[in-house]
Amino acid sequence: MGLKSFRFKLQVWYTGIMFVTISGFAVLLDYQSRQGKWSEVDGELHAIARTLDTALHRIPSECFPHDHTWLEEEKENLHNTIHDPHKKDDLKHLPFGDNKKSSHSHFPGNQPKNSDKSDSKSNKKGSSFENKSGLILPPLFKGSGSPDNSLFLKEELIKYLRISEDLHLHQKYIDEVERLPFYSIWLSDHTLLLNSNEEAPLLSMEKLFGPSTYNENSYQSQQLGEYRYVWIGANLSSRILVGQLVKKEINELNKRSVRMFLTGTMVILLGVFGGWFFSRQAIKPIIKISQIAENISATNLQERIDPKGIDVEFGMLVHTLNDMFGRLEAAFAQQIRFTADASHELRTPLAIILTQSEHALSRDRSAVDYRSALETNLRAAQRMKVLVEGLFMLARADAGKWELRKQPLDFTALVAATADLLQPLADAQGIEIELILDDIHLYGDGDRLMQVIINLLNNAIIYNRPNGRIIVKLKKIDPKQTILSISDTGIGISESDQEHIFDRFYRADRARNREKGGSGLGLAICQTIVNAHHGSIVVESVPDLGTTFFVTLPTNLDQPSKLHPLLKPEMMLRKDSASGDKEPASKSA
Amino acid sequence: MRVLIIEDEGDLRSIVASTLRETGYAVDEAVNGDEGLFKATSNDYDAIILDLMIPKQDGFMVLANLRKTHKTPVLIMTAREGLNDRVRGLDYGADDYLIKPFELVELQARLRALIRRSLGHAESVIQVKDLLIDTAARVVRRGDQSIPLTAMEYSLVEYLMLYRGELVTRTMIYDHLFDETEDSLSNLIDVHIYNVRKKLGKDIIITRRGQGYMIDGP
Repeated sequence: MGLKSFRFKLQVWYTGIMFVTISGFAVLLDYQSRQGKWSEVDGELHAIARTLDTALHRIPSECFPHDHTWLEEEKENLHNTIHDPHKKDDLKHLPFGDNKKSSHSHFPGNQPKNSDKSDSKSNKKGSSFENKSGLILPPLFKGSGSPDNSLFLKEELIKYLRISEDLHLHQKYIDEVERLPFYSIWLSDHTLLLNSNEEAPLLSMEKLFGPSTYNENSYQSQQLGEYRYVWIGANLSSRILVGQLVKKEINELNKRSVRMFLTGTMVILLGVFGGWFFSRQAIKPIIKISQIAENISATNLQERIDPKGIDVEFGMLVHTLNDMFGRLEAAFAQQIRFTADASHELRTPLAIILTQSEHALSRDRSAVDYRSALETNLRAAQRMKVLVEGLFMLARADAGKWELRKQPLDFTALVAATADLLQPLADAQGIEIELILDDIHLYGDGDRLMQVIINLLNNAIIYNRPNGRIIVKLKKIDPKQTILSISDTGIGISESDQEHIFDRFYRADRARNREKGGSGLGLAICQTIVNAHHGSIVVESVPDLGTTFFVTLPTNLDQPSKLHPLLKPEMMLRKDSASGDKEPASKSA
Repeated sequence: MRVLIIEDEGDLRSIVASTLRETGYAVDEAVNGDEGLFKATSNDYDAIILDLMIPKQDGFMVLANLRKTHKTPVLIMTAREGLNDRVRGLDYGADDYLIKPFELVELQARLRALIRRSLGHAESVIQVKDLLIDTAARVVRRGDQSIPLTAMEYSLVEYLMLYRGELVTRTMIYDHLFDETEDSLSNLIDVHIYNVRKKLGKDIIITRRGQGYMIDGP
């Protein structure tokens, strides 16, 4: 089962497609589930931020410091801090002070340092403002006496909310603020931290620059490590950032991802095994078909693949194979018949040679007897020679090893000369040959074409009635084609025989032909030669009236042609007169 | 013995015919099925050699038609060697089947066996008293003496021996020992009988005046 295995290829493709599909689907699902979770979290955070914003807005303005000089001072402080790497480091780590449990280790790259801890400790002691090195808080919240800074903002807020006039209205905010599990950072427009509860980790301030314009619905969110933040443009040109430790959610999402990954892997594995099984099932009919096909050989070609029980899709294949077997069977049958016919045709002359020799040698004979025996043997041997040559030619043509020696040819002269050659044979039967010949030059193998004309004329003489007629016409039907027709007034060929006469060894009346010396291959040879010239040969016959053979040959040559070597000058003259005024070329009347 | 050869292949027909004539058979020839059937039904042949692929009506047809009225032994001599053809030929009533090309000696042996069997003799040697005839070797002996006979004389003795104990009429002798080409031979038989008696002894062939001859008769 190598790379050439169809099943293997099928499996690879199938696995590939399944992998891409399932993993794509899983990734999309995971992404969507994460997005859903985060937008849920963000929505909550946003709501809180809004609540905070409103709550802060509700705090009477006199509660806020009117003196902003602290701000300027702290700006400078901050500036110094940022430019002092050590302090900056402190600044970064400071917010972790509250997360005593785990936040240190979960914030990548931030290892708690001693200074940090000491800061945190000192922070807890109350002097919060200075100790929060870098965090700039407005005086309002500064050192407001809360012992636990984690509650700082909440308590302050609630306190301020309580002292405001519209208590029943504020109660709602108080309740909400009391429920805040989050840290929050309140920043001024200048990215200065106005207030924060201790749960808030420090973020790099630059990242928190979003649109500061006040908009009820817009917020920005970001995730850093295990924290998720939402910040909004709040009232008083400030910003509020609300964050949450999302370790639980991350874990949950990760678990879900792992589950999804495992499920996906399992599905893929199942798919792969299923696919292996299915691909086996799929190619099973092919294997079955090929096994049956394998068992069909030359000896049992009549057998076919039974299309029953084979799926429709393979029915086509079975049909094609069966068709092929049919053609093979026919070809084999033809071949076998051909061989049998050939051997049969060879048997008779062989029998003559054998028996004649045996007979001649059985006792002393006279010279006349020996001569007669030798003559008989010679006739038989000649018959065998004709037969063997014909068979050899056809075999070579079948094998495609037969080449025509094509050359420019005066076809008219060739036809006339051949007719002249057979004239004595026709004379013996009192048959008249009439030639009606156009002047045709073509490109062809003269010897072979002559063979065709001899065979056809010979047949026309043999199968003619005594004192019959033969008309040979050569006509150019268009610039590209010429038709040679040879008509006799003989016994004709029955309709059923007509379709077989070009078959090898086919004879309408086997014995009659043999009597006249035919090999049974003549027309088959004619057809082979004509076909090799890209022409065609057809027959038209009316029983008892006569037969006409039509040979169509392409004339793709209009250049002067050489004379066929067999042609003699006087033949040329004859041809000219014959074609010129359609005068019968035969001498016999 | 008189045989008919139905074969369209002229050369082969004439070789077989002349060979058989040389060995003392009377041989008639037919070149096609129609002629063959006509001759086969109008003469009483001892055997017929029949080719299957002949014009007019083929060998199978001739055989089928012949078998309607005649039991004459038929030897098919053909180039068709297929099992189907052989089976068909024998089923149509042929007694033997010989495939071309063949050797003349085999044809002759098969022909002899065919004729012998048809007359109820299984062996090629027939003995009457001290007269012995070996049809295979074509030898006639009286006691230990081998007696040289001409082909015609041999044929006459052979024919009488094959019909031993039965009356052989002059017509039978005409029909079986002379072919169709010979004409008005009435005293030719007498001449041959006279010659045979001279060589074999007078007692062997019994004359039934006005009827015919017999050997080993009562």
